[in-house]
Amino acid sequence: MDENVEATVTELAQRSSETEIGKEGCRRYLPQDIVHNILARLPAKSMLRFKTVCKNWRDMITELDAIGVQQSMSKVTIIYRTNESKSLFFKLKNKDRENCCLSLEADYIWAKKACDKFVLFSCQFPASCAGIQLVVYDTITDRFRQLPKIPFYIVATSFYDLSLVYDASAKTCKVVVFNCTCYIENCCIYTFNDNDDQWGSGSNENWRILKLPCLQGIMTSSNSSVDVNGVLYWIARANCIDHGALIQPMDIATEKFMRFIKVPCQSWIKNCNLLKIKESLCFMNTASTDELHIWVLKNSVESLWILQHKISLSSMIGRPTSLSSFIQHRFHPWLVVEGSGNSYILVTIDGLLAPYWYNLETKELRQIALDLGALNLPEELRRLAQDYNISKGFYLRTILFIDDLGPDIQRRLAGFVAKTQRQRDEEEGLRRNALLRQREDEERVRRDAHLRRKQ
Amino acid sequence: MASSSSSSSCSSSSEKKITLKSSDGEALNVEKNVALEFEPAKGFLEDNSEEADDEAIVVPLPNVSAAVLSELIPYVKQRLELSAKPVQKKLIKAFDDQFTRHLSDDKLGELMLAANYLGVNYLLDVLCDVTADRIKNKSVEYVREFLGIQNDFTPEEEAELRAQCPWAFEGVDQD
Repeated sequence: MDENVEATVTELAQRSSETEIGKEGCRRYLPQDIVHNILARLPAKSMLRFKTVCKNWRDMITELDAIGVQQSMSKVTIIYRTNESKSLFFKLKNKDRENCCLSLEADYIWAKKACDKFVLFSCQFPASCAGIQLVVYDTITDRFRQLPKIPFYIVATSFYDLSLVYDASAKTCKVVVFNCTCYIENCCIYTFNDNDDQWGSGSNENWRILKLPCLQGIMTSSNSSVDVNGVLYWIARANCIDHGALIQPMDIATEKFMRFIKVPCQSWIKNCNLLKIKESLCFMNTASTDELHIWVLKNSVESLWILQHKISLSSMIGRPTSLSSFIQHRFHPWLVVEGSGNSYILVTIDGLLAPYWYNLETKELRQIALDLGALNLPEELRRLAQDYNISKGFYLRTILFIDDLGPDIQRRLAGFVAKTQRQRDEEEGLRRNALLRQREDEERVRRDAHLRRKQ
Repeated sequence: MASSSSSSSCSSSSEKKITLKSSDGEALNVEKNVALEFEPAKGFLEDNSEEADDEAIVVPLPNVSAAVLSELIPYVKQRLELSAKPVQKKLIKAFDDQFTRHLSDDKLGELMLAANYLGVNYLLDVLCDVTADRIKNKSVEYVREFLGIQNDFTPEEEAELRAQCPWAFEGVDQD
């Protein structure tokens, strides 16, 4: 033991003399593993800034960063569904290898959005004509909560868009629903507090109608809304403008709308998406047959954008031959994984099947091989899964950025929804019975009175 | 130390006292279960277990001063008592917060070194969290000063690194 102690002491002394730290610094000198421990707890922005502290820190942060990117990439869950309402869950283990789980559900249950620790599911039962139901799942505490009925009619096949945002400081979560079938004046919003006791049951709060600043048509694409620094942005067409699109910002905490932001191009507004890259709002659009542009918003008041990245067919490494044009083929971004070095966008081509990682810096496109052979699947599902990229029976539904989402959750979710639904039905039934009884009583009284009058 | 308030029926090992000797030569009496939380002391006690009388054992801790030890011991003791009960994590967190809130930056560094040397990992975790929290919104210059780090970049190298990500240097707190 004493030897160890001595070794540590001399090592410390050596290290501090090597780095020539003065007496002042020596007092606070921390060994490498403690510094490493501290750095690993910093947010990405701080890590990036502290690369300039000293060479040692730069190297440590670069190393940590690579690990962080790998970890982020492994949190992705990709969900496919078939025409027969069967679903495939893929959980990526890292950017190349992956694991996969699978579920077989007759009900319509889809994970729609994820943010922080929450996942928003949308469900509908075949027999029910009540429209979709929304359920929030907390991945940390492993609990569900059912949101009340949406104030307007949406079924699984409706054209609608959802946003899920979480304000960690206020511990409130907000769900925003847009009806995208027509130009709308209102959207609806639902707020709940993480700490209230309504997990495991239905929520008491109700939806609120939020009046939009003008009539707008909400655009849907793989990523048509995004939240950056407490502001939710979405792409909309304003009624007065024929072709162009605008970006509508809304402060999430106060629910106040800010001025429209003009998009950096007005000519081609198909296939445009919003992304969050390096804590800034980015707009991605198709510029020509062989170029996509990513613009970064510098000033929202003046709608000042800077063209940051060009994704071009000619300079793309590993381009599949099927991708010959950005106009004929859709290049859908789903989410961004970034470290201080490289940024990756998870994309799909034509919204269909195989997902890719696109590296913004090296311009490399790499397919995520979903290895189905490694799965232990029932025969029927194995056949489905093997055919998934040939038959086009599967199509991509959701890519979520969250850990630990498997078929088991879907099964339990179905149970939860069915239970709360039953409770609601029972309450409804009781109320109806009471009403009926009341009516019968009234009827009897009236009849008796009538008889008496006759006599 | 007023530890007699806790139940008297517990095992005798927790009542035995061990003497720890700090780097500045001061002797501190602690309960054996507290001393066992410190890895060097645990190793020392295991090596000298044939000695019948624990009271006679003096464990040298040449890397920790008496001032730091006297802060650490009550923390570890209370933390042990807390984790022995089926309490919520929230409570432990509140206790940790209370302990770290008033620590000066210097004390924080000293405690981290001591926790690292003594192998008290739960304390080291808490202290690293606090340090990360204190520096995360600060400037690079502040961090160098805070941790006593010499800048070994040439001005050109530093400027180049900064130019790679100017956005990371925006919105930094006042030092």
